[in-house]
Amino acid sequence: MRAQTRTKSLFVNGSSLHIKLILCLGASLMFLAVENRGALTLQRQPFSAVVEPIRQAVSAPARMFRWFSESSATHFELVSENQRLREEALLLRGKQLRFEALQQENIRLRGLLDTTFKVGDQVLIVEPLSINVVPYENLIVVDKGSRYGIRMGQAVVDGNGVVGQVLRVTSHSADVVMITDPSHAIPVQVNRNGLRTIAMGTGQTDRLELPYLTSSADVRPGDLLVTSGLGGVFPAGYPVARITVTPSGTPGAGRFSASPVAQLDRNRELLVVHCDSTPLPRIPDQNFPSYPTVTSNADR
Amino acid sequence: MPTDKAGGGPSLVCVLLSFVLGMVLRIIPIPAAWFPANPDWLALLLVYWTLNAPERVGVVTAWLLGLIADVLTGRLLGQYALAYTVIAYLNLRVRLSLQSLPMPAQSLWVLVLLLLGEGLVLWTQRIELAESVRLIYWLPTLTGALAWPLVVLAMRGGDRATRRS
Repeated sequence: MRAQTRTKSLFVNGSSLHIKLILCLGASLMFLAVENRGALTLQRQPFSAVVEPIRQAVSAPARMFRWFSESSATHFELVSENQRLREEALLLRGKQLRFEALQQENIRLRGLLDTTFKVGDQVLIVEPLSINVVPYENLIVVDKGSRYGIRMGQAVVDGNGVVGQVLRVTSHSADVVMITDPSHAIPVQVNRNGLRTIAMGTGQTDRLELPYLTSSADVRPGDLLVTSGLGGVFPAGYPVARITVTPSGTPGAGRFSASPVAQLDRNRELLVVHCDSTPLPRIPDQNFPSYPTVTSNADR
Repeated sequence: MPTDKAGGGPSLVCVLLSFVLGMVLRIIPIPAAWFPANPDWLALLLVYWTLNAPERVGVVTAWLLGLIADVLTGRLLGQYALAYTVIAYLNLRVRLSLQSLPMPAQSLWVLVLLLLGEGLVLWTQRIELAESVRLIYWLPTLTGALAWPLVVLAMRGGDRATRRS
């Protein structure tokens, strides 16, 4: 018996092992080179066939628990939540009335200025799968993929502000990279004075850095940063973060930092924004698309 | 060693099931405070199977497993594939001397392998990410080495159970 294991182990220690090693190493490095250029994304599909059932299975107990806790909520809780939601809906409808009037006015004024105006994003509701990916990398896996028309690079927002953008898509799920990921940068502008800059992720879910602002820039704590629309990934005007820290008087004393307004660590529903790239006509026609339109399948 | 008893090696079902379980444990939702300590169960299982069933799990299996791990954890395709290939190769080279070592020494070797693997993943990472990595990045290798005796015990038990049926 001992001799048998010996021969077996001699066999795996043979030269075929080295050939396999070199082949596998070469293939891995080749994949890495291709991935770094972002050229191919389809090669993930066969592996995601293995991974998807596991992701769904891991996410299932948490979803069951949520469903259970929602369906066993007391009558009183449901009534009070209903009341709250009704009030919120009324409030939002009131704002919407003003918004539509302002939108028409904006289009008219831009028509006078002879510029085109882009508005009318469509959104798709997705839910994050409750799985952990990697601790120091800020990714969320969501439950809809290319079957629902999600594409790479689309912006993802929640009820409060920008969450991130779609990094990778498979047929049944998508990886969303958050704005706080260290490799992510988002073009923003200060809502108060229109000052444009770039907000970089830090790896902590409550902090963004603004390294390209000089310390004398007119930015105060509490200022809202909104997407500037430059770069073409994020549509303009979505809130991103609020300034928390400004460097004290002396130059080089520190950097501006901001905390994201989106609830990055506890969202249940996210919206994937389908940015409409065709400019609207300056004279609004009658069947003007309402904003925002929730569609079940925005395959465009 | 289980391989010595039956000669035929562990059943394929047992190996596959353990890998599926490893993938589940890799992404299981545990509290955020605990999550950074979650060890790389797939790498531990890979070390176990290359040690005890080299005729079933070799370098190519390790590479395929690594590609699946890349997709599972949202990495660039090839990062874990590279790390797992190197881990499997090194482990296959020393497996005969490793089998006679006591458990603490084996754990130490596992720690070395895991550190090497994580180091390779970090090396192939995008530069911005590599810069933001703190000391906590290496915690899973430590917990992995501590969890090694557990993996060995569980896998031996599972191996026996699947053989009997």
